[in-house]
Amino acid sequence: MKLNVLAKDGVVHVSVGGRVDVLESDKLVKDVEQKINADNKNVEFDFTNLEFISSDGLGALLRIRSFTKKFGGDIKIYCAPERIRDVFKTTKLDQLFTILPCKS
Amino acid sequence: MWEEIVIPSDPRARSVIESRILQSLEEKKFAQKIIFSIRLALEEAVVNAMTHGNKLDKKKKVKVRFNVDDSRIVIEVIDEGTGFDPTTVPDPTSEENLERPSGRGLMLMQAYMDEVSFNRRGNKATMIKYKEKVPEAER
Repeated sequence: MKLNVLAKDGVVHVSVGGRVDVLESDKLVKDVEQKINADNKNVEFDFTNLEFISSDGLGALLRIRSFTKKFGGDIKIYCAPERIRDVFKTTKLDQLFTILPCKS
Repeated sequence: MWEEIVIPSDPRARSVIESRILQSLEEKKFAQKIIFSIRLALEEAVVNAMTHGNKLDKKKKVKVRFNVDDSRIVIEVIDEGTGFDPTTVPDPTSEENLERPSGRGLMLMQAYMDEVSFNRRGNKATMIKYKEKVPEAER
């Protein structure tokens, strides 16, 4: 997993690439939650370089979503490849996460 | 020809299985979309076997057997646990379970493979994926 987390202008920007699975999910949660607070309560994920996500990776996103909710924040996901979007659709998690095209 | 790999119940040990199976699929020229489906189902089956089946006891092994030919792959994932009844696993896509961070492994296996079955004890999953889409009646 390649991970870059930056809090800026009220938003936690997370670029995650490679593979998010059972070995990586706890690190993803820890590194992102460290940056979330009342001033930076919304999270934007950039999935441009995400190649693989397992149920543990989905679970990590749900844990982060639950954490942001405590501050009244929310999550947006940008630029997810088709196969990753299909995993969200199959699990119906596209109903919980806002999945958007790539930012221009 | 069937191949067999046995690993301890340590998630760090599982990459050898994926590498070997992916190599076989690429040799048989399976499409990347199909390979992604198999990777996902395999990941879920092996992690389930380690965590739920063997309770991450490193003395207990996970055995993976697989057979790839020009039309399909058959994968068996066997743990040393007491087994489970797949019909009792809650539907993770139902409204009351949707926000739960776990419980999607079996559902993903079933969604991404063409056939998934379990032995009576419930400690052996058998999964089949066809290289090309085959109508259910012809399987």
